[in-house]
Amino acid sequence: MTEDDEFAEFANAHAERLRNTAFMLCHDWHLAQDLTQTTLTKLFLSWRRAIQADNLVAYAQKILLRSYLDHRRRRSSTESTPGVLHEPAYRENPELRLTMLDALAGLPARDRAIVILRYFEDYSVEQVADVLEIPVSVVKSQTRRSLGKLRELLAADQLALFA
Amino acid sequence: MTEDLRALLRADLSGERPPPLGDLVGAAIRDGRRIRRKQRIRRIGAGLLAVAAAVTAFVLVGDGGVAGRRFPPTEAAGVLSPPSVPLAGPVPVSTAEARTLTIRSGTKRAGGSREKATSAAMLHLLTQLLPPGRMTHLGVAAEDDLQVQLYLDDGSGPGMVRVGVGASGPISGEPPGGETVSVTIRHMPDNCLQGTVVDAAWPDGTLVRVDVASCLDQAGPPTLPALTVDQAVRVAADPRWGVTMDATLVAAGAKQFPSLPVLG
Repeated sequence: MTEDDEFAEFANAHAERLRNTAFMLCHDWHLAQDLTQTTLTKLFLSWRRAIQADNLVAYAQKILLRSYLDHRRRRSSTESTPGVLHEPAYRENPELRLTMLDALAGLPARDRAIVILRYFEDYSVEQVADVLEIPVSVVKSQTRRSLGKLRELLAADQLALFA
Repeated sequence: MTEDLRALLRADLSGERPPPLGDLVGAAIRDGRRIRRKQRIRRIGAGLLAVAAAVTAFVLVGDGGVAGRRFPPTEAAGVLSPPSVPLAGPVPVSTAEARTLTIRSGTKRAGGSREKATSAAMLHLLTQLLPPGRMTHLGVAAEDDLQVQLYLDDGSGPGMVRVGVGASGPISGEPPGGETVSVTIRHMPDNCLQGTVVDAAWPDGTLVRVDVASCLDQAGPPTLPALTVDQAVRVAADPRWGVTMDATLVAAGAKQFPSLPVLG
């Protein structure tokens, strides 16, 4: 099996997960698709180095996060809140989902990434610190701050969820 | 709160209707290969420019290699000075020494109709240019990457040879007239897979690189190079290489090598 074949096998197995993470970060499937393709292209180019990594999925996630943060830096002033464009997930309570998306979208890009990695990808604090290349203490403090911000942003009648 | 948040995030995703992934992986691979190809061509061009600038005063005619005798691995360690001449001070091991030859080919670049070069045509030509020996492990780079590789064993063990072709700019479809090719020879002491690198630059922008390895694997034992410097120069300076090649070579390559392993 050639290195290209190995890459294709890995990419086919993990592309959907990467795109899901990208979507949770940006809430835009088209952008998520672009970010995932960018990530896979970069991974392809660095494949020989990547396969030396202890955790190849985390390595790919790191590239994805970098791509997302780069994108946010370039377009920070133009991104809209996309939650209203999506089909309701909580059919029984659409307002709740919308508010949650709004709340997440209200966080700065890196803080949103921390929340997604911690609570969507189930990364440990140390893993988040490694992926984002920031100190563990920063992850902890930013997580606390982000959760606090989410509480503030969410409607009063939803605060019971976060008691 | 954290468990609720986790549940909300997962439910958030499960309620979505994501568009199909499509050929996301294939598109990424194609983009990656295109970028890699451009990087390789840029490296060849930049290397030639740097070497040409460094050795402008040392344009030599003729080659110091000894025809018919393979240079030992120790020569591929990068010392071009005669053994009696002491090296003046420490030399960074990553800096390859180089010399440039100007060769008048005496022949025009191959005439006739030309087609976009293929890896199979390159391998076909390479097998014609190499000295007699057993050729194994033939391989080509992915897609349109014009790079081929094989092992040549003349009886003293297999040695790896790679040939890559690029262009420093748009190449006209017309074969250029009477040619002088600038050939640069470098020994790479810290990369046995490219123990000796011979770059040939044609006036029309065609760049040809021949890598003569002094090992088959970075982690493996040293091997005898498959070609002498003379032989490597002759391969690199052959006027038939190019991003376009003679149509008969392309056809013969397709016939001789209908399928080939793709290198990683």
